Amino acid sequence: MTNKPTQQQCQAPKFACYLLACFCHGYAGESLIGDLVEEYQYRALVDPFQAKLWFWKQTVSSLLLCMSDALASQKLLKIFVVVIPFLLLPVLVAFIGWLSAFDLFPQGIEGGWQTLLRGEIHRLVIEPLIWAQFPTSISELEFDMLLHLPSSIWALVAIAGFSFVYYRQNCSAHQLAALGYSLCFLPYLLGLLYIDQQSLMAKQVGPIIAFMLISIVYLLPVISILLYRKLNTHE
Amino acid sequence: MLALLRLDCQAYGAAIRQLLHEVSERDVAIGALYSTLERLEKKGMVNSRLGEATPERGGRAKRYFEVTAIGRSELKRARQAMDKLWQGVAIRGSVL
Repeated sequence: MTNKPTQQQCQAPKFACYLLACFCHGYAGESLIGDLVEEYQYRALVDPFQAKLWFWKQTVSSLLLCMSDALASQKLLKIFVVVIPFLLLPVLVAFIGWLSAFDLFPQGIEGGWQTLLRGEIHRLVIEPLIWAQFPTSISELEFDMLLHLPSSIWALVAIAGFSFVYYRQNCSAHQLAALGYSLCFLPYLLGLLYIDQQSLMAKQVGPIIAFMLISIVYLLPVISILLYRKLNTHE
Repeated sequence: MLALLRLDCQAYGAAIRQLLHEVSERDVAIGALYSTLERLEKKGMVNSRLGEATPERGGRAKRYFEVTAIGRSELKRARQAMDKLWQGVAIRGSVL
């Protein structure tokens, strides 16, 4: 006597179908799931367990492909190029304003001074207690707080280098984005490394932090606009 | 593209995958198949249209593919190139 598969055993794994529907929409979408379900029905009649294994194997490989396609797509890069400066610039400007005017860390931030003197701005910039003071710091923001000669020099050199690659070399938008954002965040990483390696006094750390942050403020909009133009010309 | 030509008007995802599986004896990933077909369609070598939805597919429509005139001429060109490359190549001592 042979064990005939039940109707439930012949049903394709629902969670796998759900994952495929979530991540593999667009071109393939429903047809891809339909093809898998159709073949699964025939396989499940022979061996339901092997059929399930096969279905999951196909699902995982398809998901990986769909995700890598999505990551490589210019649409995602375009969103990134628009969203990053819109999110980061106001926060950085407000933080620079707060940093220029503050006397004491808000109560509740433990080890604020040590974090600041280590140059770990990425930790401070996500503190809700500091964010609470941003409205005041923005209202008291003065233009000269954003003027910084070393950052200007770095920004000019970086923009010149980036423009050379942008206009003279035949680079893809993804390669340009990698180069552009590396130039934006290089001063920050170098600053962190320098502060970590040297035993600096508090007054020596200030200019380095200014260089780390203001360079990003100068470079990020320019790089993002150039990348946006590049992506539009590609289309 | 050869699989599409062989299947003629029955060239949809599951059928193409099965044919490739039978011929190459490898389990071709359906995602990879669709990814390739999408690229070919963008290049104008393949056309696709949505077909009927059947119960065994959970009510999902089939996507049928066909090779365009550009695709056919590219296939011919690729075959000529392959033939040229094979000329005079010897495998296991025999000249092809």
